[in-house]
Amino acid sequence: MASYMLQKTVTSICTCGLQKLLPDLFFCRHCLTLRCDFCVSHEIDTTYCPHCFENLSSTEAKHKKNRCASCLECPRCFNTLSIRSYSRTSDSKKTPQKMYYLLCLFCNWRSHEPNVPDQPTSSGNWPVYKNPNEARIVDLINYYKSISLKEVFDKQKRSTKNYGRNYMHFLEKFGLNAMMARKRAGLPNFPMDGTGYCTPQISSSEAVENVLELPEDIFEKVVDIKQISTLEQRFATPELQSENVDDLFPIRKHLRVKHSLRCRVCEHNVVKPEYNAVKFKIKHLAYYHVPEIKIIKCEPLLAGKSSSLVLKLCNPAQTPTAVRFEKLNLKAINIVREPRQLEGEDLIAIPKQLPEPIPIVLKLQGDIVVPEGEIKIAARDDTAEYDDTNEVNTDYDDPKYVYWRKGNKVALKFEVKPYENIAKNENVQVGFIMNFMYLDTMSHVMNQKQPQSVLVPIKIVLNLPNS
Amino acid sequence: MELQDTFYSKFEYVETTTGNKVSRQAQIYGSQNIILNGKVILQSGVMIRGDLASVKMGRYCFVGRGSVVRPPCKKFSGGFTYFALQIGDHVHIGEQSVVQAAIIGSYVHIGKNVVIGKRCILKDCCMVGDNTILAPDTVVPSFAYYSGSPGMQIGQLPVCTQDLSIDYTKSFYDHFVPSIDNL
Repeated sequence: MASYMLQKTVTSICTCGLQKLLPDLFFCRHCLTLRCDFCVSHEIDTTYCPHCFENLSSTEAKHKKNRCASCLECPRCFNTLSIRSYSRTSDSKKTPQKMYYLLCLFCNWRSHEPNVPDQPTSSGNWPVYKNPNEARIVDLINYYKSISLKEVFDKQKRSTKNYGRNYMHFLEKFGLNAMMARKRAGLPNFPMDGTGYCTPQISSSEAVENVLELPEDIFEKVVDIKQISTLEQRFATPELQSENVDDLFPIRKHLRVKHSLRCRVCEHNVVKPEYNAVKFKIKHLAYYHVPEIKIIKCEPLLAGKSSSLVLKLCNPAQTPTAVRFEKLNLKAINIVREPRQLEGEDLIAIPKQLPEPIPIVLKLQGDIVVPEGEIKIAARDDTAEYDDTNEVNTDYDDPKYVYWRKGNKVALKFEVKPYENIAKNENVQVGFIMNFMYLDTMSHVMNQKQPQSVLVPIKIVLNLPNS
Repeated sequence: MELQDTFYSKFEYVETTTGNKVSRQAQIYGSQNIILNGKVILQSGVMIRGDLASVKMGRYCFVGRGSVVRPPCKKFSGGFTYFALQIGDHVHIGEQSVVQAAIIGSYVHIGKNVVIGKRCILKDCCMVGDNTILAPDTVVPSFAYYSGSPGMQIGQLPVCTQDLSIDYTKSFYDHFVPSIDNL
């Protein structure tokens, strides 16, 4: 896991031109190409709080400004706050009352510091600190909304074309739901056609004549850095931005989203999460289709001299595959090769275009000798690990290239020859193309029932350590 | 890069029938309260405090040198209680870490020199980077990569984290072999 996060020795180049690690890549089963974060469209599937795991619908999340109603963050260190209780006895005759306050278990910040009143219930109802200028902002928003509405009415009055009074598409934009309801109910005198529609009056902002003078001691007063809030703390609450650390108020926790990802070209889902946390309804990842390459052994690299390199290929698919290697041609590297054109059921009305492909800039520092011919790799068998007699037929293998074979794994011998002028202690970058056989079980083409084998090319870049 | 073999001395480790490999230098307290579900590796200097409350560990777990696994406690108005600590399958805990979580899900990776505060909840498929301090009562959601002090989410893990984790812990166990001169 950690090795995956840190070591970037084997990278693949996505169809869009970005260099990515194999676990980060998706494999569209309809276009038969690699896709990455950058070349899929992201959609919000569910919104949830990362602390209490409450799921919210998108409208609810929008209403709550994408923040959780019950979880709060420490304004000093941004750790999630805990709720603590104590008993208060105002009158010795009465039973003591339990009161709750907020405490940060990391920096020991307490809600008493900025004078947040203690609450009688553990669930909170902690006060929401509103923007001091909120009323003005709401006024302005309403004003601009009404102006845009007036514009729409004016435009309709001018045009002779009758739109059939279908204002449905304005409903959400301008908050016309109530208006429509009134109209359906037959209430009279409603300015639906815009006659007599007037925009609300707002007072224009005025410049203040008398600005307060700076305090006299501003240049001489010793500044206590500990009492001044950091930029990070101020930006966490942009509407308040208090300068003193004692005036920082708890922040409502930001919600997080689960994405469902869609191929931008054929509009099929590549990843669709399930309600349950770690499961997915659809996950078409390169990790489950493309043979994974790992470096087993790499002899010390010397400039101008060839040294052997052993790579392990592991077939993750349930069907046997075959790989064929090619040299990477730097001149033709930027030609995007989509292995299959959309046809049959996949054909959509307006085929989408990917964003402009990123030009691939590679600075190769060596030549690589790749195995010739086709190398077969067996299918993955989950029961194989309990079977000791799992012998693989190695008769057809060329011992010049195949080092060993075990189940769905094969170790292949390569040769790397770094260029003469490579710098010391800098990774040697070499590249090649791996074409692998993908068994396409989708019936893309009409009248095609048999699964077809398709050769899918993938550009691989190795960053070999040179010490 | 393929994982390299980690060699251990056969005299140092006790191997159980279920494949647990426990160092003789590990400090195991209250062993009747500790359940290791098989193929768990506990390296030297690991301390497991089963005497405080029960500790359950799933399959293919690894606890690195000098780490402490300790059930969490909570102070109530009436007194002081320890809670059971549950750890799922395929969990990697790096060296010199202190774990006092309440629940650790499956497919979790915890780095080196990490402090996991009392009663933390780590959901399935999450990762805590090296040198992280998680404050008590922190919840780490799935597919989150936490790091820093206090631990904050700084990244997202790939969709195939579960398979990556299984692959990593299994191959780690397979590459944890006795050194040849002791055979």
